[in-house]
Amino acid sequence: MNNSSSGMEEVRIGVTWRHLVVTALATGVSAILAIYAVILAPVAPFPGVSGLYLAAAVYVPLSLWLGMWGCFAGYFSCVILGFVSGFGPWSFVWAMADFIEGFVPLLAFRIFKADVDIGANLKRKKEMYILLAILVINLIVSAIATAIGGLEVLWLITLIVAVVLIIFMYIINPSRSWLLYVIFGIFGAAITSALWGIWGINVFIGEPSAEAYWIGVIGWFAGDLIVLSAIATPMMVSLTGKIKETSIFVDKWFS
Amino acid sequence: MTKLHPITKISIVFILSFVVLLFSNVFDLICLLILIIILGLLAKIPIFSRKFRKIIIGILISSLSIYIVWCFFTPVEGDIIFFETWVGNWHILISDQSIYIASRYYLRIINMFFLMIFFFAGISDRDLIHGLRSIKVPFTVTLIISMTFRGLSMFQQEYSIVREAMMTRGVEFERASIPKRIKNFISIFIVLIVLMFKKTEDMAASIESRGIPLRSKNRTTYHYFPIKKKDYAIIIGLFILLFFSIYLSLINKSFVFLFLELF
Repeated sequence: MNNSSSGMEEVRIGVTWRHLVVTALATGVSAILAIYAVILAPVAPFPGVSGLYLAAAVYVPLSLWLGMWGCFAGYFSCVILGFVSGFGPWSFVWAMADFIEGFVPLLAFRIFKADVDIGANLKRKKEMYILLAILVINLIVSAIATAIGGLEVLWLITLIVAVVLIIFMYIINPSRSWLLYVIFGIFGAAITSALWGIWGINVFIGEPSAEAYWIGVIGWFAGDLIVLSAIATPMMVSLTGKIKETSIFVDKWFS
Repeated sequence: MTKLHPITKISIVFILSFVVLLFSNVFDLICLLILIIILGLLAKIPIFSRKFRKIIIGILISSLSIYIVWCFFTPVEGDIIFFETWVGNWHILISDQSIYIASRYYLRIINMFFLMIFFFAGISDRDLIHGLRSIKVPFTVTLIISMTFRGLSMFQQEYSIVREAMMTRGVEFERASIPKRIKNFISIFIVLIVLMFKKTEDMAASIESRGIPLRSKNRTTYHYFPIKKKDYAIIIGLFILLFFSIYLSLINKSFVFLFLELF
């Protein structure tokens, strides 16, 4: 409890049923989306991997809105997906990929104490979305160059282009939240979850070749990048302000 | 089978899913698949009905694509080589071993898939709650698990309703371009998310108004399901199978071959 200057007491409400219920329901929504995504756009030879992983669009916003509860929703929905995809009990390990996907941006926002409302005071929206689309395409090219090998020059060019684009975004819209979201909410979340997820599958099914491993990583990474930039970003911009006004919003880790 | 205690049904799914992971012989996995299908039929799950047939064929085909790509992307040396070539750096080698490994993996997925059919079609929400409560899982955890599974079916219905509502207003889903599809999905997502928050408020208010505390310890239950002798027998049998599978995987032996050696 803190005493404010006006003499009013600011009461901090701990974990309530709202947090648990929203975790359960968010798990349901995410699991449905995850199962649809994997059935509609699978990435062979890896089960449970989708080229258009729609559920990822929910994990990142949920973790930023609901704190750790959003991360748990991502984790449990991935456990359900894992069981449906044929991983069995190994799903509990593999599902950490989707936990990480929500946790990476949450950690970044909490460490830097940034506001999760990336849409607040967003300047020149159209230009920002165009730059984001170019950045995503550039990152996918970069991932392919990394996986194929022997294309170090292309990889270096894409890296420079990515840095330039991010700087340019910051010049157009000097918002720390937007910058953190692009770096950790889109790129960071996609790459960390792809590396863990494909590692998990790798351990489960034995040792596939390096080519197969990188196809899985690129498929996962590209799918997440597209979904996070095309679906999660507009959701974050349009809904965060409204959700912040509800009692369900979590501004720390758990409450 | 339908009269079994919920915890027995849950044990069948979880213990057999561990056994699937432990079995590495194709013939063992085929036998296990037959056992799971028989259990499903005994539980009166309409596995071969039109509704399930469509899903099963879909999974078999999508898993088959994984099987084929696995064979092409994973060069494994074997006694018999069916096909070998190089496309740039890509070494395509299809041997008896690569087919065997792909088959093993394919069968694991199919086994797990049938177990999941058994789980979702054979175990109701009520079964799950009673099963978990009977093994003293805290009431709060039980309620959350139950809500998660209810959420699954609830949002599947909501997804269809929103999609159909959009289609009646002339929104194209089937023949739309990819950017248009993404835009449509964003619309559905936003509706689902808003619905989710609305339902959360309602459900949480309902729970709180009933005075259910977060850390409730000794809640009484209206329904009582005693664990019968046959439940104990099945659970013990499952554990024997699990430990025997662990033993077989440690000595690297096949269940079927060991059985044939004995008789």
